[in-house]
Amino acid sequence: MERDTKPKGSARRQFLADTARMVCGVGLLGLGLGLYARHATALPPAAIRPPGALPEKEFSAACIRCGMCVRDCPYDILHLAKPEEPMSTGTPYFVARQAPCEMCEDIPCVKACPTGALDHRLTDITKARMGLAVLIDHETCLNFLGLRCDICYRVCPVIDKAITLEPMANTRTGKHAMFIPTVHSEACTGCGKCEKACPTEIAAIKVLPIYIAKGHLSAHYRLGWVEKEKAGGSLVAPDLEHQYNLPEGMRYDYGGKGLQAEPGAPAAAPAAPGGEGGAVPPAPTFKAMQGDKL
Amino acid sequence: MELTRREFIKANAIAAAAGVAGMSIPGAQALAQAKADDGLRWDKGACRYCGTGCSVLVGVKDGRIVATQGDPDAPVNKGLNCIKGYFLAKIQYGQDRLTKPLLRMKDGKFDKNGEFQPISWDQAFDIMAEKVKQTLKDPNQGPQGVAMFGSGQWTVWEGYAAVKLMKAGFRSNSIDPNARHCMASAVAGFMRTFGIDEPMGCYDDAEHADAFVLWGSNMAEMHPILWTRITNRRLTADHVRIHVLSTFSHRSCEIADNELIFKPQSDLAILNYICNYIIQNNAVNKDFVAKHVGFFKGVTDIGYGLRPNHPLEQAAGNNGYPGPDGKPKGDPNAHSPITFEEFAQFVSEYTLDKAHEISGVPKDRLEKLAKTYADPKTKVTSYWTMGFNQHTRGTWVNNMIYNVHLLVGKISEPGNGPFSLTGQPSACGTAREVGTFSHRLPADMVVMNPKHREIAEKIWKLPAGTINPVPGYHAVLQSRMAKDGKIGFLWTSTTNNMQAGPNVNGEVYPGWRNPKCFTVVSDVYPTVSAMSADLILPAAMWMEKEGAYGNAERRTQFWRQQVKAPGEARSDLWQYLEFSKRFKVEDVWPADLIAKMPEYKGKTLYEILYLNGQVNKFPKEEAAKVNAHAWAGYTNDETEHFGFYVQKGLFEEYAGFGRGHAHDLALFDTYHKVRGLRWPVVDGKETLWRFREGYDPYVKKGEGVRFYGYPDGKAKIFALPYQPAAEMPDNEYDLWLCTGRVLEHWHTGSMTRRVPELYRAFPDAVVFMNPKDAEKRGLKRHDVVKVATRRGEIQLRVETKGRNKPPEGLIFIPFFDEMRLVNKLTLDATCPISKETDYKKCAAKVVKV
Amino acid sequence: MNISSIIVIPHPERVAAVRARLQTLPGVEVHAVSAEGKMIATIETAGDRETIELFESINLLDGVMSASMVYHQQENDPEAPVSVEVSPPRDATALA
Repeated sequence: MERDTKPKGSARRQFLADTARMVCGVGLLGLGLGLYARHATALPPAAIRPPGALPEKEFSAACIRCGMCVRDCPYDILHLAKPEEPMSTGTPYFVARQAPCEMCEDIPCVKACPTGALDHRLTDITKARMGLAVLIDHETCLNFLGLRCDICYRVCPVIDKAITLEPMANTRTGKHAMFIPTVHSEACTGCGKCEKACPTEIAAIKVLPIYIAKGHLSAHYRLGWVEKEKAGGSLVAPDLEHQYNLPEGMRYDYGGKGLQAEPGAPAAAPAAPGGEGGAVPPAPTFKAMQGDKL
Repeated sequence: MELTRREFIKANAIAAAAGVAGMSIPGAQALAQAKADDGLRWDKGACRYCGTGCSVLVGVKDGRIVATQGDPDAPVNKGLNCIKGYFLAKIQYGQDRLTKPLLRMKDGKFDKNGEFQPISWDQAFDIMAEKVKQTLKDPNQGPQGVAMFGSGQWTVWEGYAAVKLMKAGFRSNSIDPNARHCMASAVAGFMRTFGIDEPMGCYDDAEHADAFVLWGSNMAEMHPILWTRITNRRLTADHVRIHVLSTFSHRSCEIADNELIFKPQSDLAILNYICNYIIQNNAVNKDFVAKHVGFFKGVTDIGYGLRPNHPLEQAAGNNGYPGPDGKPKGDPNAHSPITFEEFAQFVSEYTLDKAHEISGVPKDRLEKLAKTYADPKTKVTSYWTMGFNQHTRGTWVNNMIYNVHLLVGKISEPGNGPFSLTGQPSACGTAREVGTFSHRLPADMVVMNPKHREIAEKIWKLPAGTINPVPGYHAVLQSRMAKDGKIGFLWTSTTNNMQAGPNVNGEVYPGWRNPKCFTVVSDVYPTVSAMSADLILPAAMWMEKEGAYGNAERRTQFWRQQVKAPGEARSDLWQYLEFSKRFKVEDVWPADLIAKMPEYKGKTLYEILYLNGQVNKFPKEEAAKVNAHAWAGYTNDETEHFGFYVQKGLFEEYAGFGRGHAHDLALFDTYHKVRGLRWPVVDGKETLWRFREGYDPYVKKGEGVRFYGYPDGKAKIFALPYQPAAEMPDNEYDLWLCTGRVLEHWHTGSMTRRVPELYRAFPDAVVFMNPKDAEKRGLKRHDVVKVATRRGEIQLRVETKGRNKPPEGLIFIPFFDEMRLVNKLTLDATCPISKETDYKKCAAKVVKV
Repeated sequence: MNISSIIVIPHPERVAAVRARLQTLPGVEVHAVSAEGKMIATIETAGDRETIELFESINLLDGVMSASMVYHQQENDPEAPVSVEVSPPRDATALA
């Protein structure tokens, strides 16, 4: 038949089969498109869509359950959802803890997709956003306990961009630093390597669908330091130069450390009774703590 | 853009299909991914809430604040904000903004028991002027019967315009700020010990101290951004220690190295024990004490600031109230010199055993604290807020923390010093520096001092004798006098005293509703206070007017008017100046006073007070000139309305009081160009630590340290005893009741409770209670209970877990919730010197409902 | 009510006729036609069964080579207002 051009044909057959099943459902089981729609909105958190997947609602509408991506995945990590699984039957997914995405540079799964449910504009796999890694359990993460594990950091395909280690004082020992794994959403592809590799019995770091993993600041508030960087300088008129009444040997750093002894000046601040003479060793920058804990 | 759901779903459906088909349908796709276009105008400002004074940048689009951000270049907060600051963009836009004057009316006329009906500003000022004139003539009321109640949320010029209108115009000293409820004890403490107001240190102490001591301050919740600086210091410098003293365990205790939970009122005993420890262990800085300190013994037996007929006041010999002979019974502020040895003898009875017995704090913890102060190698910064200030011995306890710092000479240098924090954005800038108290004038001057009156009258170009030498009615007294029919006109603004004032049932409400008192409330939302008034005036708020605030570290910050107020809402400044046009000098001043300056005959108060050649010195065009660096063609509503740059004129006249007198403010124009400056600003330089040579330009070379508030350059150490609270738990009312705040809400919640996210975060007040106390009463967590005192009762739920953990015998209730007015329960006992209410201590019982 | 979108691919020589025919069907609106004749249409029906029936009848129209369903949503309150001035990022609403 002239209607059935090759790839479209199989796609259409698959769709018609689904449709027929649903129509039967209306009659026999009292189910129908309603169930289909509900399924589409109930992707379980451990199920991660392949690279380039459209946002979930659009994806489950556009995916024609043809199975081409599964067929073309060289590592066989993708599965098609079975009818008993709580998501749209026949749609592809993977579970990071079982087998994470290997991030093929040529992205064969996307190429195989006939409908664009996996977006063909994705040509650079590091731009994929399958999900987002979240260090979900601070109580069992070994680095949070002060141990040196850092496995998630080291297995990360986008190391030093998607996961960094932020030093923080270990107040328990008083002598050591802790290295806190910190995920950066602007670089994390959600491949799941970190979750797969996490050495604890149950992973402390997990990849979650972005809609679960990511918060969003309300539009009514901006981060002052980010806006300043974006604008390449202050958003408002600069201050006049600040001047202070100070004894000799002291200076005041307005934008930075405040009161400082002039280099080369006698060590003690005037009448400072010991302690450490006012000079505090420069603290490391605590990127991870800014804005959340502190 | 408004759509129906059908249209919206269709747009999504089309966009999805277009994506699959590889087609472009711009309209639908754009709608499906609608994004806010930026293009905001950003300008600097100060946060609207607490005394920390974080700077924010305000983003305006189409005449509305749509975004804010912490100012990354501000030294106080470097781009951070607390969760309340995070939602600043929303506080002006509650659904129920007041936009028209509303008067209680029946049959078209004012009626105290009528219903609120909209009227014009003209009609509002008509009835207000009528009531003021009536009060002035009433022999029972007179000038002091014209009263005003404001706050530390007034901008500097609003507070200044109000003081002038009241003290110079109406010749009434009955103007007081709600700061009376908040830090009057700190003011009295500063004035008594140093002879000059406000902290000697600044926030930079946080980066230089080796130990921090919190006395009755839960900074973790009440000064969240400042707390991050202290926490960071603790985290990054290993030797740093934090001591927290409180009557219950709270969030600040979490990182405390030494937590001291003491029995209410026993802080007095602990402070005397520390002095005793310092003396016994030879830790007195003898050289410092000899050069810079004098010793005094204060009178005791000063009462509790209750009504004169209260048994405690009848028994008091030094409360200053009229005695049987009509003469005042002593003076609670009186004190006489003693020697160091006499002081040592006085505190010697406060041994470790005694301090432990009175306070209930384990001895090792008390000793650890005392050692911290005594150790010459440890730099200590002490912080306090309402635990000290809201105290029937609030002035004493402020004096006594200075005793400790002065004995060891740990004061007025980086990392060493006592620091009184404030709760309002301009408690310092407006309430204190402008002098909006019933006894004060600008720059720490007082109405009782003839020299001070003379200076003020000269600057204000008034005939000698204009200013009333008798202090007016302070906050608590305003409620009592209104109830007693002595106040005929009471105008409150920028505050919510029907929720925040003590003993609402017994004093505040009966006062406001007394038919002899006409009550006016200027506000932005229909607060409990507004609904209890006779006339409501719709006010402009925050960025709807040009403003200036002064924070706790003496930092003055300015902002430009960013947006217009809604409807007919007007700034307090506009209200005071417009209202002053309603009075001819003959209406308010006696003939003999006018006779001293005949040129004022027939003039209005507006002409005398504000068109005096000083306030109206700067023409309208000046607004654009001053602000040209930031905003081409800037102007503001008051400047346009009155035809001159009102804010600049008022500020420059006001600054004249302090310049050259250790209260030097920079030029008006400068503040519009900087993120705040700490006064005294001398030759363009700000002052970080006062009283210390090199840091403070008022201390001469070679003096080292000079407490120049007193002519002899010496601060005062006071011998003062431990005394019990005004009301203590007994068999029937068996619990201490303490009130306060939570992080999510600011004071009475009139702003924060209108931000849905903050409301949801802490919707209703609860009573925090020890689990054992709950169990004893058969109560479970979240049970509804009745909390009652001798003055009233409220119902709310029990909380036995969470942020505050009271010890057995004490409950804590926050005061933000207008549906559960905890101030129906509180006692209006005050410090007899500062007149500040003790909201932290009264006796209550909790019963299952 | 149900709202769905479909892509209809007509025979290249019968684009105009298919379009005209589609527009006579109740509940069907054609929103765009590409250069090669691909059409995007929405169909509005009362319930699931009606959606399937209408979709199948379009599939069987003369001149239609294929019709595929892309998007489907049930809506109980189609006249309720919705404001789209500032839309949250797409990920946040993907499953909303």
